[in-house]
Amino acid sequence: MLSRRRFLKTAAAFPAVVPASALGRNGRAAPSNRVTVGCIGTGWQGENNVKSFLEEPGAQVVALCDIDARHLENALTQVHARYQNKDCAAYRNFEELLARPDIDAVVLSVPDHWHGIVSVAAARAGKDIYGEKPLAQNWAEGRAICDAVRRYGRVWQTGSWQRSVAQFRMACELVRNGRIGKVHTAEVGLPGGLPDWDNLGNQDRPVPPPRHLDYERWLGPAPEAPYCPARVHKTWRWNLDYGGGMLMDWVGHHVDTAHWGLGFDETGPVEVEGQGEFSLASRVWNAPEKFRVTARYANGVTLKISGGYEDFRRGAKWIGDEGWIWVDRSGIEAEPRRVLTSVIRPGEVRLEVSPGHHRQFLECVLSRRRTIAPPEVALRSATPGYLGLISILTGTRIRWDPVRQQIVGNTAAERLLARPMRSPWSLPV
Amino acid sequence: MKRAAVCFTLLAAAALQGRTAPGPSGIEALLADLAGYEFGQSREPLERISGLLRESLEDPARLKQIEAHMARFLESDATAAAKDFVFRELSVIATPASAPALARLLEREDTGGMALYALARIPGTAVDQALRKRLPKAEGSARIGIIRALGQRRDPKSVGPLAALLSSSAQGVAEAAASALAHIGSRPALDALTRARRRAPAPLRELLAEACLACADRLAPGDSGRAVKVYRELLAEQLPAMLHARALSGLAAVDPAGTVPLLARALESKDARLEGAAAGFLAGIPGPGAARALAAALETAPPAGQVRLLGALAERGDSSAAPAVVRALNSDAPEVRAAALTALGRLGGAAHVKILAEAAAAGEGAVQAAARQSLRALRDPAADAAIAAAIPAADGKVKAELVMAAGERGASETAAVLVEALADPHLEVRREALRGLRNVAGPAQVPALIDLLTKAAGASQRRDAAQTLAAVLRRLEPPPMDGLLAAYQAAPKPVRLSLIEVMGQTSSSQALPLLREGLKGDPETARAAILALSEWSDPAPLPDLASLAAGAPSPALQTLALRGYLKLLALPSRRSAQESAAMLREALRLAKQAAEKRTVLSLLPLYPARESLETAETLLNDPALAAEARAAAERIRNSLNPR
Repeated sequence: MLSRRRFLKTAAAFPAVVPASALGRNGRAAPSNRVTVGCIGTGWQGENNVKSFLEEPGAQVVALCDIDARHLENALTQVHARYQNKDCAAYRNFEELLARPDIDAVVLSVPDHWHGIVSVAAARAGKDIYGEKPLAQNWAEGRAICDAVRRYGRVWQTGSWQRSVAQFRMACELVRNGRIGKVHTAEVGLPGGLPDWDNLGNQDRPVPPPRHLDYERWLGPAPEAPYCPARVHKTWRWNLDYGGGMLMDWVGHHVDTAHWGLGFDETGPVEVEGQGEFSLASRVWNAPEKFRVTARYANGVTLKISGGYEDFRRGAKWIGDEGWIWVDRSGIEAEPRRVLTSVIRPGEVRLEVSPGHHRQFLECVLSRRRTIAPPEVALRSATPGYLGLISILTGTRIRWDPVRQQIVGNTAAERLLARPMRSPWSLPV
Repeated sequence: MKRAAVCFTLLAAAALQGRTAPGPSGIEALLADLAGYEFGQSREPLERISGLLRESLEDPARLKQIEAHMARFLESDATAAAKDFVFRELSVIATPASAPALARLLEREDTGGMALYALARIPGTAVDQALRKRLPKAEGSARIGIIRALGQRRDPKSVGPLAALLSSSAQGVAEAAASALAHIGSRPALDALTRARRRAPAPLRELLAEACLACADRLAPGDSGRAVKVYRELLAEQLPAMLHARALSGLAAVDPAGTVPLLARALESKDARLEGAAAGFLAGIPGPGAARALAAALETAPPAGQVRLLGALAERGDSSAAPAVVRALNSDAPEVRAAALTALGRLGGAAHVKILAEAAAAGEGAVQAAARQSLRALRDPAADAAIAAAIPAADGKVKAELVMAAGERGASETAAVLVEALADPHLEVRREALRGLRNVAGPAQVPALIDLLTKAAGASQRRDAAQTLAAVLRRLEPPPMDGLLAAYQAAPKPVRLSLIEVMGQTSSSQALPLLREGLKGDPETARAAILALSEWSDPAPLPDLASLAAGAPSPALQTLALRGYLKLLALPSRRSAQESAAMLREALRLAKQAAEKRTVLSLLPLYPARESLETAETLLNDPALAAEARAAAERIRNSLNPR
């Protein structure tokens, strides 16, 4: 099998004009030390990820893949402009990209209902993976991703980038080290609603799919459904065949942060109860537009998640018997305020310092170290969301065994941990 | 045109269906409403049924009745979209009683896909049997779907039929059968896969090898001997590197120590993916054998391999590997040196303090960053004492690195040494010492910091000293104020102004009388005192600031006091909303500039009361503030009248 370095050495398609950056100058790593990256999914968050990796001196984006020709073209133009060459390859099918032996790592920014299949395929192909949150559209596919990453010895970083931001780490370190006493409650405030970012929400009646989109493949493992613009780009997340509404869209951020502070990276709730409100404004979007989820843990902590209500301030807040700490992207606050000037002493819990989420992933690809957001942790963080959504959909309270990671005594709920895939799609074994 | 949103809660939905659907379960009427549903129409009939199901899920008798109606509905002439919805709901609630009806629909091209969707989730042997019965007759994608469903269900009776399909030439069938047998993961399934693998052509053989590995993974917890046999057999075959990685992973889980030699050999693989995977697996194997294997490989690996091996050693945190890691610091490759320094942060200790500090001082870029980070991260309890001991003897850059590390680690035993370093001839050392003391200084170091402030050579030095002193006092509970108050009495005016600023940061009640006195002083002192009181962490100075906002000697001081007053007003308090509203109304009366009035408008909604609303409404006719006033009034009204 051709190794990446050999490929770089012998590639016939070396550009006629070699940019200085490609030779390791301009602060960029030399090609042999650069991680070659393929980006699968280049629309919206995918485009953001392409830009982020283009800015990383330790990465070389060598391939893009998208089933929407317009997204692909747009991203390709950006890569060509950044590198001042046309070396980056473009693919419509992810399998072709994964088959390239010269690609070290892939960045997955596909809709949630594709996470499981593409992630497991990438791990089997020996790629290291930066995968968007939530880990998967459903719990079982998240579990499969964890297993595949472990079995094939791959490096995985979930897109829960708040873990790489100093104020979130600081908040979690303070909570972990008892600065607000014994924590009994965590409150997570999330946005609600079903935002219509591109004003396509009212285009929710079936029409023929546009030629630039391979709609049959976009549906992939999801059940057959006619195309309409409101069903696909960006707002797919408001349909439960593809995403999990605002709850699952944010679970990988503020719930992940709450779990990090609580030290729940390797455990989960014992009971989850959810309540939701559904809107009939859309003919396609069926995710709850408002929701409340309460998760109780074996150590007595209660995690409350609220979206669309004014129950809690946006962000993550931990409440202990000696005070509270709140953190969001806009800042960090505490009561008593003195907590924020507290210093983490030697011997106390120190959380990993990340040089930046994308960069930390690249460093781990080279060093084979565990990333700051590995898949097992992402699955644990997403579990209150998966179970909360199942509780909302079934109208039942969910009991969960966090050791075996199984629903206890609720067969209807249990069935919703996984979803049947439309033939011929399936998760590789 | 945007449609009006129709929202309803679960309870509302239940009430709705109760009104419109007579009968014991109400499902008949709801299904009748659903029958003509097409994609692109209102989802209301769908949501009504979902609401009914949510309500009925814990009532088995009612659910059974609903299930029967829904299963019959699927054989009606309802639209495909309506049936699609019912298939989905049945997938969650149906029992084996629905299996015959769904199995009939499995045979039809228009309903086969969704019938399988529903059947796949329904537990019970009746469904297994229905799927097995349909298997020989199904074709194409439908057949693959059934094969995969039988695998997912782990139906033991499907092993025979599935094994027979391993030699199928129909597209995708053999692959699906292999995958299904792997899911079943029983001994008979493994036997069938093994037999097929030995006679299969190359591409299929790899797929069957992977299925065998998956089977072994499933068997391992109860039959490790058989699993190990599979792993070892496949490791001996010429297979893609990732299959060897998977075999090694399985073997390492069952027999960690026994796998170390194989993993050590894999570290020499020319395939970077396999080499990296092996390093990662070794990182997770306890015991000295794995550490020795990694350290030994380090001696001969190329730079990229060394980075991976050092990463694995770092993950293990095994101090026995420290000598090998230190040797790697001599590498010519900066990435190797950086990886070695990072590893030392995990597995090193007090003995490596000097090495790390020297590397931080001499290095640049990633190497320097790694050394600094590791010096900060050393977990050895003796590391802080080692840092404190090394500082006096160190020179220049190395000393600055040690001092920086002491501060960042927050080790209080280094505080005295850092105070001494404040007198170091090197500016960088002094600067780092002052910064570090913010984290490590205790009450014993406060006099030295006061001294530094009062004797500072100029405004810049005084500001730096004041910031550190304030940070230390903010952190200490209670802040030791006596020295600060005594120094104030004896200090010249520029120093007094700095000390007032520090007092403001402490929020100490001991400083309040002195600051109140300052409010009556010359304009510069009064200004400093107002700013200090504005920084208070509780509302104690509110009356002082209110009084000045109304009657300070100059308009500038009045404005400054009003701003401070508003800042403290926004702090958490036990006041009622009405009390806060009254205080804001008074603040608005005193406000002369639009900026302060805007601040009042932004605070009013925090205190939802009729008085707040009235105050906001007084500005509705002010052209400069009308928009903010409307927004504030709207927010207050919403808070007062929750939906």
